[in-house]
Amino acid sequence: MSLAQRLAQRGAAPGESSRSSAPPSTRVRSSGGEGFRREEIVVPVSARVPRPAVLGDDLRSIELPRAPVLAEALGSLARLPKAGACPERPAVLLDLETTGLLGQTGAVICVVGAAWHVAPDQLCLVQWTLHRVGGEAAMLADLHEALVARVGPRSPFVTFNGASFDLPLLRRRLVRHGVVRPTDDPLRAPHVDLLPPARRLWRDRGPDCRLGTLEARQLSLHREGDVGGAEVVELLWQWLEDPEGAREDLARVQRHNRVDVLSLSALAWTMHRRLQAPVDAVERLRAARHHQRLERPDPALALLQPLLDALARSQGSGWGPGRGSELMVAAGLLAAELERRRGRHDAAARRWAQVCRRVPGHPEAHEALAKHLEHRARRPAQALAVAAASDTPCDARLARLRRRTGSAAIPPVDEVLGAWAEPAV
Amino acid sequence: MDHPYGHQEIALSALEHGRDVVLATSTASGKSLCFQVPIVQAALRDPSARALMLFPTKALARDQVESMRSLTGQLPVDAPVGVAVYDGDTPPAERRAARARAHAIATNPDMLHRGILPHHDAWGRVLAGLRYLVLDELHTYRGLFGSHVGNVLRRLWRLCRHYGSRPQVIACSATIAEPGALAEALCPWTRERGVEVIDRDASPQGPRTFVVVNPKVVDETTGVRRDYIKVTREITSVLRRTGVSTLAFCRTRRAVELLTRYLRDDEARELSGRRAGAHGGDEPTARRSAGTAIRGYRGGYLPDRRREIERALREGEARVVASTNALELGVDIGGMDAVVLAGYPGTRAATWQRAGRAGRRGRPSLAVLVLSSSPLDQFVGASPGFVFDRVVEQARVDPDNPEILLPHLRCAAQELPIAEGEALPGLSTDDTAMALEYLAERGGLAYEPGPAGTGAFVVHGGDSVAEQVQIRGALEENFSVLDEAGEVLAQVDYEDAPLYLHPGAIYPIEGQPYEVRELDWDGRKASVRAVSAAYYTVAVSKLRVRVVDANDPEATEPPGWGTGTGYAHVVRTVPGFKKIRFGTHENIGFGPITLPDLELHTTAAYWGLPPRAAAELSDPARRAGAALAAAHAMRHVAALLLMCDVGDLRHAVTSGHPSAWGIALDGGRGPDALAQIEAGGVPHIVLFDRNPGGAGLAVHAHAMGAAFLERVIAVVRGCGCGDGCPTCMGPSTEAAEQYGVERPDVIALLEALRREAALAAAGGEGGGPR
Repeated sequence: MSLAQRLAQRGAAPGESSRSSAPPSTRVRSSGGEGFRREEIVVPVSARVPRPAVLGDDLRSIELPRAPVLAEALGSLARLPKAGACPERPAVLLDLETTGLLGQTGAVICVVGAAWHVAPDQLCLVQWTLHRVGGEAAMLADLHEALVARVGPRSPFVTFNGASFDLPLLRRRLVRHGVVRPTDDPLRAPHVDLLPPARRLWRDRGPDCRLGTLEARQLSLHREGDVGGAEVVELLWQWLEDPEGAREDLARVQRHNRVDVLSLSALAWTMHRRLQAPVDAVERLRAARHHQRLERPDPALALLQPLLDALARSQGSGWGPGRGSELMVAAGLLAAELERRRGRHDAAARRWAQVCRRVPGHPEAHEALAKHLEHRARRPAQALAVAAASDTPCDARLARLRRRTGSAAIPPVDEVLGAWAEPAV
Repeated sequence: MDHPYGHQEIALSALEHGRDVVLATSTASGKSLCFQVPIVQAALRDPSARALMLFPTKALARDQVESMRSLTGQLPVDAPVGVAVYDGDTPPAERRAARARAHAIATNPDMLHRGILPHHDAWGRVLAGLRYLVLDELHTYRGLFGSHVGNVLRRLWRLCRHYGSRPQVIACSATIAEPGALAEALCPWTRERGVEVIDRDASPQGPRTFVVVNPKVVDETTGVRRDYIKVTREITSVLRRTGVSTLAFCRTRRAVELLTRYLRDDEARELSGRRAGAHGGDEPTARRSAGTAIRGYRGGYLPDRRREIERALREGEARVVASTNALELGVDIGGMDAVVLAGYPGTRAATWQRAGRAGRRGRPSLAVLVLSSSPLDQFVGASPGFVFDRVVEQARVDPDNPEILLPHLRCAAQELPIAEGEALPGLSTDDTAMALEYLAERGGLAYEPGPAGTGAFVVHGGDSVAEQVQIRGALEENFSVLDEAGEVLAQVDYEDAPLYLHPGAIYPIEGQPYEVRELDWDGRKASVRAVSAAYYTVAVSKLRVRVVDANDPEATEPPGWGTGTGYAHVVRTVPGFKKIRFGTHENIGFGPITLPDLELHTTAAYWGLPPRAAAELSDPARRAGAALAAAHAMRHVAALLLMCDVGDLRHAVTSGHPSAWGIALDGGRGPDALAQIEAGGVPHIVLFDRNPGGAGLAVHAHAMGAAFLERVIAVVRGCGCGDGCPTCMGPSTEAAEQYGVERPDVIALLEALRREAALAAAGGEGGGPR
């Protein structure tokens, strides 16, 4: 029996009536073309020049960074192969709107926004919008071509959470539609994901670290009539299933995406400024940790200096642990770690000693200083004095040091720590 | 490989020449090497070469990976060939490693369907480099499950095409008729070049002796024979005493438990008797060593226990194992000296597959078939040529069954939009287009037009379609059997739980009886404690069928008789259980069971005996018996015509029109008296699909109308047997025996149905008064 006969017979089969009573979701559409649209707008960086109308009022008072400023900001936010600008190929700001999560079978890439500077004070924002599910391959091919022309070894992608979402998803969809071969890495370029540094600076200092929250709290950017993440998924399916009925909703998603892309640059700039000039001691310490993560000891130590000065000033003054003490101690330990990492062991020892004097018995500082005295300075008697004064002394270390010192006199711990008592230069 | 067998050499050379290959040689003839070697060779030549190996179960995949690693482990370290399992149990980190680095990936059809194909972009490297597709245990891909697998492979093939690869197919099958046809039905694209079928076994085979034992008649008047389990026990004990390693295949899990227990008792008695003579009796030691030498093996045991028994078999520690067909598949246990089949396995293919477990390199082997007193077994006893002279059964699949094809087309469209004018593998462009339009009209797919025929069929919505398509029927959660300490002892399938896990049931594990104290139905667990019971339990089950007419679902007044198709509501009730004494098998008690009924909603067709024919067959018992025999024949012929497995369909006979609830007779179990009486009405034959929701099988058979019934009549009439045989009138049951079925009655009944169907086709008058 041919398939045609079997299908005809199936029409009358039980089990079909319920299914066929469902309204057909197919509609005859006029929308032909490639199955997607690409739209370009030019956005001036200055808030004084009027912005394109499609952006609405969300960005009206927001100043965007000029090209060299963004380049400098990205250099301070992430480790890039060569810090600094590549004027002819600036960074690409990228954001995707999809119909699902990474790894979800039905997740189609539906709206893609990408922006880059075309002049020091002008950004070009290109937006791709899918008009039917079957157009994804063509859209991604076009997007890929545009991106390959823009990014390179010195022109990074800038995203928010792109390391775990936008870029892997884009890579997989490019492979899925045969735009690139599975063995190729289609988007070989450095990547600045703004989420990790944002977390480092502002974790626990707001309700969450989502882009919208950061925009509101750190950039004073308040969106009107914006759509939330879950809503985007729903609106995009409505659009793909029935373009006529969902045009307005699509426009909201498109604006949301455009504002996302542009606010990436503003967020990068703001983070850069806050790294240079933290608003308080907590942020100062976190900024230093950020530089430590990127293995940049100089800016980290420079940021810590006010806290280190306070730590040094408090030496021997008889102050007990008190307000601000934790930050000073954390700064001292961080500075010691930075000094140790680059081989300045004496400088590190001085920081540990300062912490030990500020908070007598501080386990981490005593431990580190004892290690330094035992293995590097090779002064076991002094090491023993420091180790023994810890709140949580290590028995193995004490036993070993006692064996090594034998009957030699053990100096009092204050005397040992006093060797580093001179004020820091 | 220094000295490959002849069939291995042919296979390797055919593969070297780019052919697709099907190996259908005996168990333990070195089939695995025929895919392991080419895969390793390809990976050494080209590190980007990949192979996908499909096994029907997770356990087989694991075995194969271990065996293959022992091969790749001998390679130099600078030429590593990675082998990995990818299934539901693989942890996430290993999954990534398997995708990225393994050259050979072992998985199962379910994982391919739900875990790999929908995420093919993560598998791009594997699919682009795919050189070999291995289908092991090909014969298990038959019936509805096989038809699903055929569609999963269709989707795989489409994606290979997309990524630019054309893997060679290496299929391994047990002995079935036409293995090449099955491979081609599952992978139609191999027809281009033709599949090379290698079924001439060149592995050294010693002489094999096949003995058929028909237990002697103990009661001349009733013709009752000695219990076949007891006879199996005696034969196996003889083999055991002479040190012959033996595998005893039983048809049911209960028989495995009984036999294990009996054999251990015999062994322990003998051991302690022997010791008693020499050193004084030592009962516990004898029990222990009997427990080591004699093992039981069946589905439901935990994987650890099964691995341990397999190891004991390979290493010769276990000498006798009683098993269900769980050991029929390619589990690596080495060769045995003898195989005892407790009861005819039901098909010639299964008989040969099980018998093939006996025989080690060139040494003589023995297979003993012990017949039970069921009609099918006795038929085999009367004409053993039924087993020896005829070809083995064919495994059938029908991947183009719309009920199966259509959902997989939706999966395919989600994997990659199906372009207008695209032909899916194994389907013509026209057929693809027709099926896609059919789906689009009913909302199963969306058609998106594009300029100049560049439109596409796509899935709207983010949920995975593959997750909604069950390729092995609906899966209900298993029941766990827990001991008093809360340790899991075994697993029991959902459908079997009321039969084996009702409170008071004796649930044995490797012969040790456990009593079920409590059954937590919703929590899917049973608490048991070890007991020393002198009896085992057998649950009694009752079947009820009701068919709601698809064309007239509101009909409340049941008509007297009729024929048609509809939704079937099938209910199996387990009202009570019997206690049977070990050894004598006498009934020593009865207990009630109150458990939820098992329900199945599916599609069905029914044929009522027209009143005039019913009047002619005046004896209600004979009428019922003839209807049952006819139902059996209709089911088997339908399976043949619909290319499905006989197990994919069920048959039953109701007394009166099936739109009213009534107790039904089925082939599986002897009917109780009530059913007999009720069957005295106008019998209606019901065929229904076994998988929940139905696959249109019974409906399709009904739609063939008179032509279908003509085929059934031809089979019943044309069979060369004397008084009816398993092929023409049904194997099973006391039912047929009790009713005394006679072939002319069956033919008369079928003729009446055929006339009615022909009338309906001609004038639309059939279908009975409404």
